[in-house]
Amino acid sequence: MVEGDNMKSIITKISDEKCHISLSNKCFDKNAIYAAVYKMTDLYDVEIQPINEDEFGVTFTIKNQKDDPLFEEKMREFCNDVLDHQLRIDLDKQYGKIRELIVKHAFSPIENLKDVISKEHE
Amino acid sequence: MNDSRSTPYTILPLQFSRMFSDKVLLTNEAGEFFFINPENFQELVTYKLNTSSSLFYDLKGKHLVTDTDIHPVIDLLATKYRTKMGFLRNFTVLHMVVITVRCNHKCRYCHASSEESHATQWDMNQVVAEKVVDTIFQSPSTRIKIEFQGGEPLLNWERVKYIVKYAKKINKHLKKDLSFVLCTNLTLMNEEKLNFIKKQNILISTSLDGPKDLHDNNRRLRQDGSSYDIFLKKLELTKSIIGNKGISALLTITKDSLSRIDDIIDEYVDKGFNGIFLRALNPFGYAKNNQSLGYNVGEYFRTYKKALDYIIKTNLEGTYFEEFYTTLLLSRIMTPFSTGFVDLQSPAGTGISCAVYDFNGDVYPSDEARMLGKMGIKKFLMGNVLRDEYIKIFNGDVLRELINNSCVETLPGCAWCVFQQYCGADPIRNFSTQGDITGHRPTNEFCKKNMAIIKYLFELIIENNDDVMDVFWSWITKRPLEELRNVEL
Repeated sequence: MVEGDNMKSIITKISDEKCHISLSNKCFDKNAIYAAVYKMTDLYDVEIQPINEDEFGVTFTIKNQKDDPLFEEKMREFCNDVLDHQLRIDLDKQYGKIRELIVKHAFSPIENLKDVISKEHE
Repeated sequence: MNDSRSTPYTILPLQFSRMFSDKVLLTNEAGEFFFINPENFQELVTYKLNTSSSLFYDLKGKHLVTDTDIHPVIDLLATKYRTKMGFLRNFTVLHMVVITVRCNHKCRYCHASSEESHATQWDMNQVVAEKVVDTIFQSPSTRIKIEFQGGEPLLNWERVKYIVKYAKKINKHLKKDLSFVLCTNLTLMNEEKLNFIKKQNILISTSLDGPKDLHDNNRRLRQDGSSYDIFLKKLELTKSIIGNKGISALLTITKDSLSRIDDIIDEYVDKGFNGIFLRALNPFGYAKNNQSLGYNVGEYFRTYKKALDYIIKTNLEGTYFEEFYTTLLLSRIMTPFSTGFVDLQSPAGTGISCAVYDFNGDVYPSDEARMLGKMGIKKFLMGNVLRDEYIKIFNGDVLRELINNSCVETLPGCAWCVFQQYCGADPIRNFSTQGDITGHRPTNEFCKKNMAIIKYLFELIIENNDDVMDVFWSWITKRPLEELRNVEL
């Protein structure tokens, strides 16, 4: 989880309606950021742009200029969501092939499953 | 991926979500679930779990991890997954036939936008009826359910009788598991019709919106009078001829119903029904633009919770009474069995589990698609039985596009959802409410409603109250509570 001072350093409140978050592209896949952003698109207009070689910038603007007392809390939630989505991506790299095999084997049984697994390993 | 791993164990495919402040829910492809605390979850994903711990054995038992050879685990999970997806095996089972668009009611929320009682040009004729049945029997499914819909099907009763006889004649050779359902408001029912219904073993699905004032306010006759009074008289007549088991009722919840949900449940119990299907208003037909009928997801969910509590209490007081939507979801969460349900499955049930044949022979993947067609949006028209072959209708671009875009594993927001295995997609509703068949999950009411309900059911499952769980299991196993509690283990 992103907490405390580390969190503050990546979240910049530009105004009551606008927040900017910088995320390292060394730590996060852009798909993790897209997935976390997607959840927020009912409340905020979102811009994602590369800041430099190492960072993505994500800017949230409250839709319809309405007051959002939970704005900062939601920004922290967003950062945690990015972490969870990155974990999903990392886990999928490990077991994605297993998922594919389960579905394939369910509908069109693979006769030599053990050999197929060994080949994947090679 | 390998059988000779470099880590102490292999994490198997799973979805996860943090919820209830101190828990992480894990689910897998087979719909198995497990709650873990965040610290243990951190240990799990960093491969620091002790493989001799009871927690590890629990996770292993749920097929979320393994420290043995992987191929037998894949074999087992594939079998479980195949079982869960068993509803796909049959292709289209439910065939809804719009016998007429005429209706003697003009319900406030009618999603079918019915026509006047005398407007016979909206009736299905015999030529169309025959071609509809011929098309239905080309379905590869071994089970065929023909559901008569309207308007009010009893206004074109001769065609109902004709289809039943014609379908049975065809089925003498094909020997499929053939059944019939008649969706009727009952008001035009009589002994002669009921005798035919009993002889042909046709089930009746009717509508009851609650006590007299609610029912009459929602379900209005085109002519003056109380629809409830006629309904009640005909309900008694129906039960006296076909018995209690041959008839069920559907409820539509309008804004007026929200504060009266206990009264509505009492009415269902009082009229001898053994359950209720809590159903939110469909955003189609007359309901789409009638502000006085609608409510938001939050209001609906609060009513659902209140209703579920009341129904559980009713069961604990000795009356077997189900909430059918809850039973469906609990069966998905707590059993390994397949539970196809056209409105909540992945891929969507549209076309592959159900199809709608309009009075003029047009074929749609769902009733909602037919309604869009009536509004001039023919995007989902699959074909017409008078001019198109079965293969063109059911293997065409319309159905392929719908199915390709309704697998939750690939939809944004659903692809990483921990409730994926219990939920489904509704591309036609997405189109109608959000403008495209994929939909936008963060603003999608269908998603919000199902997320809230499934999460609440998990909350109750975690609480593990003996009484509540006994009621849930009695619904899943369709056994009275008393019988369930007396089972010797």
